[in-house]
Amino acid sequence: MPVVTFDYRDFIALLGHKISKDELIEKLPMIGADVDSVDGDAISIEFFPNRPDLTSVEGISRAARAFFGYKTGLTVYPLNSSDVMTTVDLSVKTVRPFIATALLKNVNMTDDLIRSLMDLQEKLHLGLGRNRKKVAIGVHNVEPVTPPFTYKAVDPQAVSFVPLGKTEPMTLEEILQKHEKGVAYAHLLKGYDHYPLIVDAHHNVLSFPPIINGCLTEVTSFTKDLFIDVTGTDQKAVHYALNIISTALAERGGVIHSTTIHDGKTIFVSPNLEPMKKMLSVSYVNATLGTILNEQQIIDCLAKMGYHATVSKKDVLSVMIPGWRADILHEIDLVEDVAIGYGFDRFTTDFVNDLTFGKTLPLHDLCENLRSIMIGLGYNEVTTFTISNERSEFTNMGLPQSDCVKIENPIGEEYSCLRVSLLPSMLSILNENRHHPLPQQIFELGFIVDHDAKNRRHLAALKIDAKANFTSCKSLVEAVCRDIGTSYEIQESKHPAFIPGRCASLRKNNVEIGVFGELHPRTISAFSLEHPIIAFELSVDSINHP
Amino acid sequence: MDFDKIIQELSQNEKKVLLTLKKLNGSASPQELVKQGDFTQVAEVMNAASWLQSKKLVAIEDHITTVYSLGKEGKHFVQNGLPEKRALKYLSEHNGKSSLKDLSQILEQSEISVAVGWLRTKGWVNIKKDKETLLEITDQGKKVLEIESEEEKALNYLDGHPNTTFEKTKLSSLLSRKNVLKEKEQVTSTIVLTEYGKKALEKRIEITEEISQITSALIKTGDWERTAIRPYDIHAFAPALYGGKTHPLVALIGKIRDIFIEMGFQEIEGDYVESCFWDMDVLFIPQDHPAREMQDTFYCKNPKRFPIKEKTLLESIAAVHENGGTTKSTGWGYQFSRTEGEKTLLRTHTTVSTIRYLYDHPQPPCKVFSIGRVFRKENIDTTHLPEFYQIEGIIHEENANFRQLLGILKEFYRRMGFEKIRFRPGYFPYTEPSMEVDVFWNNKWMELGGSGMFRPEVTEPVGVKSPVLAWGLGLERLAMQAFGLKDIRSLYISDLEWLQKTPLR
Repeated sequence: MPVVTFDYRDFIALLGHKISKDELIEKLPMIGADVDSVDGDAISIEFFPNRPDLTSVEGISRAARAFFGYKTGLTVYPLNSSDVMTTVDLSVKTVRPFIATALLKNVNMTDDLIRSLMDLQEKLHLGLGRNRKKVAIGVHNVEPVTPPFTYKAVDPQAVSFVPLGKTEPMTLEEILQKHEKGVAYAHLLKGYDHYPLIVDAHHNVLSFPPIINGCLTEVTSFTKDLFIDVTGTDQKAVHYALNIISTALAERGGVIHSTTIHDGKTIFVSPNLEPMKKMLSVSYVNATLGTILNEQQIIDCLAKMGYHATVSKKDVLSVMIPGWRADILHEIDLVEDVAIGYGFDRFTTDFVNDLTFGKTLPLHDLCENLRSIMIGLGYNEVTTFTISNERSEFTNMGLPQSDCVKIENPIGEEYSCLRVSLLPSMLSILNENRHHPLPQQIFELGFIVDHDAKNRRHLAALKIDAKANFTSCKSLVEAVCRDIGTSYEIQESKHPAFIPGRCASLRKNNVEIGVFGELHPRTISAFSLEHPIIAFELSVDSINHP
Repeated sequence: MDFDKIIQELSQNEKKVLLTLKKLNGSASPQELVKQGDFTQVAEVMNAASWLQSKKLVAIEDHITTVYSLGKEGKHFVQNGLPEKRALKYLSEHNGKSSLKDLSQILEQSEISVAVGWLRTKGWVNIKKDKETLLEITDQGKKVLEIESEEEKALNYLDGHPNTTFEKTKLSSLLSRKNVLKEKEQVTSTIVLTEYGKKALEKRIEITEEISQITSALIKTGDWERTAIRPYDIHAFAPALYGGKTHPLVALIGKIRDIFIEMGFQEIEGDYVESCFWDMDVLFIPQDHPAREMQDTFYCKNPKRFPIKEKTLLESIAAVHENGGTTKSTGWGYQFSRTEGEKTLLRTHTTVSTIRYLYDHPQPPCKVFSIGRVFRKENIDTTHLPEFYQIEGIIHEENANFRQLLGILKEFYRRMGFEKIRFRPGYFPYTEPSMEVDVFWNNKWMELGGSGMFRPEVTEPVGVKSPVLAWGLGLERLAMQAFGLKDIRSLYISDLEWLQKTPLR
């Protein structure tokens, strides 16, 4: 989850109200954040990924201003117009179709702002932008370039410019091959023969989205007026990213100026900070929350969450949602904000009404009986990983490679498939315990996953002991069968993990339900063990069949 | 300890040692005590003596003594006689005279010079040198033939009593010979009454018959009624005993299962291998969600795909993702892929079992729970595992609401032993409202689970018309706290000693 680190004094300046650090740390989580760490004045807050508007100190202070009651309701930023225009060329529609732009004037580029802006840009790229795929943001010094701008797709070899961080011009192709950002994001343009580019009236390059800006428009501490371009593959995400970043700058005193975008036949003004309107049913709120709040109370709760709501008609509120809230998909999202605005800590509690009866799984009793029988026989229960590897499951057990669930992206060779038997992972446990005295006896009641990718419940036990032998193993298996009261037959078996002639299969109604005996020295050595071992493994599901 | 109590609690053997020592003037070797005190073995005496020593009634003094036994030559001498004696005998049988050469008839070549040396040193023969060396027996030589010499006495004694002390001066000539005697230092003990012990003996110490181990015969004959049963020192060390035991994690699962059952929940379960459709799509997790990436979720290459059989559901889910469908949601607003969901994965949460259950049982009321393993692509270290347990409960009920969820959570966590809990806003893609649950433990707040109400985008497509309250928590974090574990791996790659010694909670 995104962690936002900010300076307490910077936060207070943005908030415009004094609140002690302790109180702040105590109250912030109630908006929907978790204090990750506090180091002097540096406060780190973990925010939820559905609230990209809270991934900057500017956004957090805006939310806090309303939530703490200093200035509730919708925040409205002054919006001036400008004649900056961007034309979207048809050529870019197949590569990266959407763009939104804004002009920010009179920005005071303090260190706090630069740091916060870069951090926010990075967080938006990562979260909302899905690592620049859906959204990429370019922030420019507008002074050296001349509108109108054009957003188009060009031949990667035909255009060259000096990218940020370099001194020599490079073609788009060279940037993807050599520039560190180019190498990192080249995959986003894979398969396209033309790449997106934003140029000014004199063909000066502002940006090569989603890779890198030109160094011509580089922002420094002397920059006053910023041009922001947001491009992407998801129109909504582009819209929200632009609103989040421009209002963050507005929080710092920048003045938002609208720009115009000509996209084919449509012309629209950007940014679009118009609140979205959504109807909210009062009875839906109360039914969902279990409350009896009236219209005004709900309006007040919403105001604390930065909304402006009015009564539209009986039982229905009209809610104005700020243009930077990307997470309101359904009425229920407003209901949650009513609850947060009301305060989770203020809710009284209740119980559900309907009577239901508790019930365990069908095999629960059998499993519990098997567990107590094994414990009674002096065995220690273990729980081992389901994720195993084919060497343990097949090679070490002397079995031919056969079908099992294989992981496409394992964390390592040791953990590359799901186990088909409990014994291998349990033998690994014995291996981990070589330094302890013998005898050792362990059992596990757990799931294996069969070749049909279905879970199967098994019981397996191992005993490593100088005197372990087939007879003691048979006694053990027969004790288990006797104590759960199942009928069984014993038949000769040739499981390759066991010594021939000292291995038997356990059958019930002519169906094999398990195997037991003395492990073959080859098996014992394969797990780097050095003493005789007896083992059994049973299918619990099969035992249960009548 | 109180003196009288010490005396009173003396064991039978301890009393016997004290009384025997008194008889032997306060000091004796363990062997003497065995003999005089009617013991059967030294160990009995030493055992009692060391207990007495710990009670300061006797002192055990160790001495180092030299003991002797026969060497290889010595044994040979005992069998065949000393070489000088054999030579003397030969002389006396041959008129008291013999040439040196003739001695080889009865002596080994190596023995001849030894024999002659001693015969001369002891003055048992006169030696004359002519053409050849002649030996002539002296009077003294004749005399010694009749008697057993000190050396012979010593050899014969040591032959019968190996490892015994012997007056060293009497062995000097034997010791000067090679391989005749073996000398060994031996620690011997003397048990001596202390002043305290003497004082104890002034009290009445009597050996009354006393029972240590109860036997069947004692019980049957009723002898126990006439005899005192010796009390044990209940503080004395007893060896550790380990039986078979439930794994601590399983014990914890059992406890949580009981809580759910008590609260009227039914247990459900599901398979580990699932389709993306059920694990993610149905739960309204957008197809480009970061959690769905290869770096977070285990995908399977075998089996590679699970066909989606629920065609109608697939269409509803596609619509919900794209534009909200009939749920009045805006949806995520992207092009939903109908084949993406066929990809197989190791389930990332037990919620997939829950939603399948709701799809199969859409009629309220229902309360179900599951406790099962889930998988996330994490490298194994002290705080991370690629598979772990998730606990999850849901309530599907007409008119269920948020306040009821808070009430259920309070009750659930109270039964888990957490009296103080708090709720914070949270976020999960499939619940709204969502919250985090913190419990107050060890004087601080600890995050222990998430909760919420299923989103309409989740419930409506599976045919669920009433609210669903849900919550879940991880088991391992709780287990680590409960068992004081620093390394989460101990739960799955367990040390047997840890399993044996960990109390079940």
